[in-house]
Amino acid sequence: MLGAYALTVLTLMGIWSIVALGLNIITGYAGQFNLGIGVYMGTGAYATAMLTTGAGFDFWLALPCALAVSATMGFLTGLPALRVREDALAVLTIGLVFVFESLLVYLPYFGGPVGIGRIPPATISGSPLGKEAYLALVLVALLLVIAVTLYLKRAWIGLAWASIRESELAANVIGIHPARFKLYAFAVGATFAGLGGVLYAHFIRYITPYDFGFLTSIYVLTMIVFGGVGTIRGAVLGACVLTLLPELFRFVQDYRNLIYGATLIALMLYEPRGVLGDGSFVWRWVLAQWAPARLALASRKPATRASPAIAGAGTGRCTKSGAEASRMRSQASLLQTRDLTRRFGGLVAVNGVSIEVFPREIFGVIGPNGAGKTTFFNLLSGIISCSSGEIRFKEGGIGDLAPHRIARLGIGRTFQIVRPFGELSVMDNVFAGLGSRYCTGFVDALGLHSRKSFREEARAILAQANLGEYENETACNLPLGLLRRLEIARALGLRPDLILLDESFSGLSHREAQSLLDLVRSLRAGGMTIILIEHNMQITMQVCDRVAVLDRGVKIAEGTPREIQNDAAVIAAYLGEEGDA
Amino acid sequence: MTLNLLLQQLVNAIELGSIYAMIAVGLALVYGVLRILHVAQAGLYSAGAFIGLFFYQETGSFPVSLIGAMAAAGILGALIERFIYRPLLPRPRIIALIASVGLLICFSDIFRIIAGPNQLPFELASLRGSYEFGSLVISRVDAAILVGTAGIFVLLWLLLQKTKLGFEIRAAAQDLETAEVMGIDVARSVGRIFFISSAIAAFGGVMVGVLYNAVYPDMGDVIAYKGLALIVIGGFGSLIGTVLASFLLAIAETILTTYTTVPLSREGVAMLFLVLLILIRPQGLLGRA
Amino acid sequence: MLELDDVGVRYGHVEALKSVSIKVAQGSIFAILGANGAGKTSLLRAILGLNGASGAIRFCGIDIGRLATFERVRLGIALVPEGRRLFPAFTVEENLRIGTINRKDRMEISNDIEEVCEIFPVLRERYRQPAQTLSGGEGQMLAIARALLSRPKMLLLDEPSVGLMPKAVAETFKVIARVSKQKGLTVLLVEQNATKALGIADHAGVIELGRIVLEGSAAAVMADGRVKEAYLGG
Repeated sequence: MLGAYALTVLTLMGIWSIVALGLNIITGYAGQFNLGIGVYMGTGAYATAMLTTGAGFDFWLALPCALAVSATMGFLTGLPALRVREDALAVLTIGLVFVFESLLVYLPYFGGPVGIGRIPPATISGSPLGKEAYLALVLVALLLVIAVTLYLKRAWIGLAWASIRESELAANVIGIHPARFKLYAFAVGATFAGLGGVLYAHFIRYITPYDFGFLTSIYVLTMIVFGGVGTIRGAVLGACVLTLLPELFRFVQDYRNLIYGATLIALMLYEPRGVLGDGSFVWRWVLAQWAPARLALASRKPATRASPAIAGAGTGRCTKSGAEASRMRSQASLLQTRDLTRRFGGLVAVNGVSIEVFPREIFGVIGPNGAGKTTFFNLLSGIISCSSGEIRFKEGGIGDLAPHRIARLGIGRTFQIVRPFGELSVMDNVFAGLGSRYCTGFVDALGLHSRKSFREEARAILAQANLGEYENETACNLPLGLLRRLEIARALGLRPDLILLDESFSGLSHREAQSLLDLVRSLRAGGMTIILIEHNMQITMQVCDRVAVLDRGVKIAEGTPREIQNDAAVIAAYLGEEGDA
Repeated sequence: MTLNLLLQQLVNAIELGSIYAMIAVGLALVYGVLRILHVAQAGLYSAGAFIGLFFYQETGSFPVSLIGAMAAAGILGALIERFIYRPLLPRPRIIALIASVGLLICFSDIFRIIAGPNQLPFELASLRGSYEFGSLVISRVDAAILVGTAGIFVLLWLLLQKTKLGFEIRAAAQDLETAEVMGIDVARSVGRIFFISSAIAAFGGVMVGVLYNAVYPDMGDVIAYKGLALIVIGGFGSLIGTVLASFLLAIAETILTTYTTVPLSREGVAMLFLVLLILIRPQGLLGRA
Repeated sequence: MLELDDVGVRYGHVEALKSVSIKVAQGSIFAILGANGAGKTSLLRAILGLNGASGAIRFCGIDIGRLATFERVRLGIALVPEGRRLFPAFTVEENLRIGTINRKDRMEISNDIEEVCEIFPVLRERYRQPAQTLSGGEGQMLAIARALLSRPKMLLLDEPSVGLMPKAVAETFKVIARVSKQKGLTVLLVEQNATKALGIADHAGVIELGRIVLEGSAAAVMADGRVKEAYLGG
């Protein structure tokens, strides 16, 4: 049918697609830059080569073993990756691949620079697979990898990865454990790349350490960057094109590196998302051609507005009365800080702040610029640890917990500078919030998040936040007012008892602010407690039951809004002192 | 007997360290101001060697070839900054790194296409022979390298500490925006930084070419990723840290490859250091946490 | 000396400044007041060309809208940034020298440094110490000295009172008033601390949500009850 040459090229295209899909998981989905995918491909290849030549394993027995070793290697190399920031991560992965190549060359067990040869072919019931059959095997493997990738994308794990990639901090505060999911990504990506390595080893049947070094890793990176980072179509297209071109055009082979290098440079300058990446020139053209079909598809499934399932949604202005205030005080407090202090070198950002917040209160924290309010919130949500003092939430100390643990205990928060998961839809942003409740282990993480019951819950939350009609919008396209509501909706997925709003009203028009105010009131009517940091005094006075004023890290006043407005110390802190000129 | 061997190895290590330091210091300068991992620096190193060889074959004068190579590489480096790195500044730093890797790959291939894949000899009649101090032998090339690199370090130090440009560079490295707000033409200063670091890299390339009597397209590979490792180990932009790391690495490489058999190439040693150091102290030797 | 005409600034979704038009007369002190997030810093950054503002900005009659930041600064504008932004690894002396980086008159430079050390004696005490060892108030003195050393025609101050103890705040404002009168400097001062700022200003404007809502002589603005409202709500 097809000539031997064509079969070889097609098989290689399939193998490199599988490796590229592995890198896609680590770098494209989870956003962890890895310039050394060769390590995992090489691990798979060497594992199967050694097992089949040295220990006499059959291909089908060596395969799962090699995959297990690759996954382990992914996990192990992922561990150091947790500790370093982006710049250092790229360099670390470069370092790892050099060390790997070096060890393969110099350690005797691996066959040295000559590598391992005479790798037995894959067999089925004793007889070796011919070229066509092997190609079929590779294609089956590729389809399997694509299917698994598609599935993972729709599972909680895929959503967690996307969240971490978009904003690790935001993911952390909605209960996603960043380290754990990054390790999953490394393990899964390494397994795919290892599979590619196994198939490579039994195809070429002769491997050397130099096949899996830095240059190879860069080729694979070029493939996914060319095709489109973070997309399956990108990884496969990139792998196929960059494998095919050198074969089709002799001159490409001769100038291979020059073309790779120039391609990388051109891509980075003009289309860093890749030829078929979301938002690229070519991909938008493709969508425009098929847009009519897509629109038709969308119109068949309109976004339904679920009836508000949560009590009090959209209703209720609440009145602030003395009776209500004293009723609140008689209950046990929900959150308590005692002498909370945080130092940064010589500067005391938060200095012995003690507050008590009661259930269903709207508590304001205000103060002039530099008062320590955001540091205070960061202490409450676990983003930074306190130097001294304690924080108690629902009778338990939370001062030394990581943000995702605190989130799961029932504290949600928004950020002064909005951090939505920009590339995800509004619905997916809310799902991410739900995820932490349903996703408590690896097995749960494999569950599909798009199940009907989860959809309904997400829709209810969107309705409560009045975002129902934007369900399928990409988050980054929304205006600021809606983004602030989205952050709240995302936090609601946790079903928090307490929500921290960090300057959620800043930058909003009067209309947007009033609408957000309604949402805040409805949340409280539904049983939630709210602490908010605000600079907008009108808002603060309108909505808060009680207010604490910080100045230079110290709480200088506390009371009802009316009391605060007339407090001399507060006026002095904001407007400056009289006299003393 | 062993003392002499030790001394000899020490001299070798210092020479190696000087070469590493020269390349890495240029990288650290660039990183300090722009936070870009300028892997392509190694391409300018090789370019220096090739251009220097070319000039030598044309003019027969080593000083002219050296200066010519340094100037040409400097201009090349400044062009790279202007047309490739500057447009990428607003984007995430990883994009600049990938472009830099692409540039490095292009460089090696361009040399291969122009000059062929084989090693070219770079022999200098004027630098043949050696000096002897007791049983310690230092070739004239070694001496030239030691003196030359020392000279360059002194010049660089003088530039940074005593000139207006140096002052501007040191300010920009601490706070790029405030430097601009103080009236410093940051864009021009950055262009000059690239000129200088590329010229220094070219010097290294020429001297190494003469030292090993070999100029070949991939000669930059050895230095490229080692340079990265060195600035990371040194502390992400700390010049002193980078120099320190360079000498430490050179000593380690020399000792390890002479006295022990480690299952690692020289690159492997550097990278192993890198990996271990990042794990223990992610901010590098002299970096700020 | 400085004219802003319909200047606007957008950061992505947010409109930080909307159609701001002000005139700062030569030799006067103009205070811009407002709560945090109102747009004060955006205003100064727009003048310096750091945020791609729309509208016209004229300095000494020259349209500076197309000039790069360093070019605008070299025309005679000096900034005392919010939070000082000293060069932490540089000594006090080096930070002062940065102020003189574009000047060529050697003799005058050393005279000026002498003068500045008279005005801020603490600088002479700490002359060779790294800037990061200075306290907030001392750092503020250094930042102002650094700005003055470029012999600017106009001084921009971005929230000079932030992070300072009350005594240092009082000192700072005293110095600003004294120096500007002495040298006939035009000052544009952006501040949250209304009382202190109005105490030394000739004219003032109040920004709320990116717009100027009140403008006039300092006395008039001080007397106007809307200032307190803008800060502390109804």
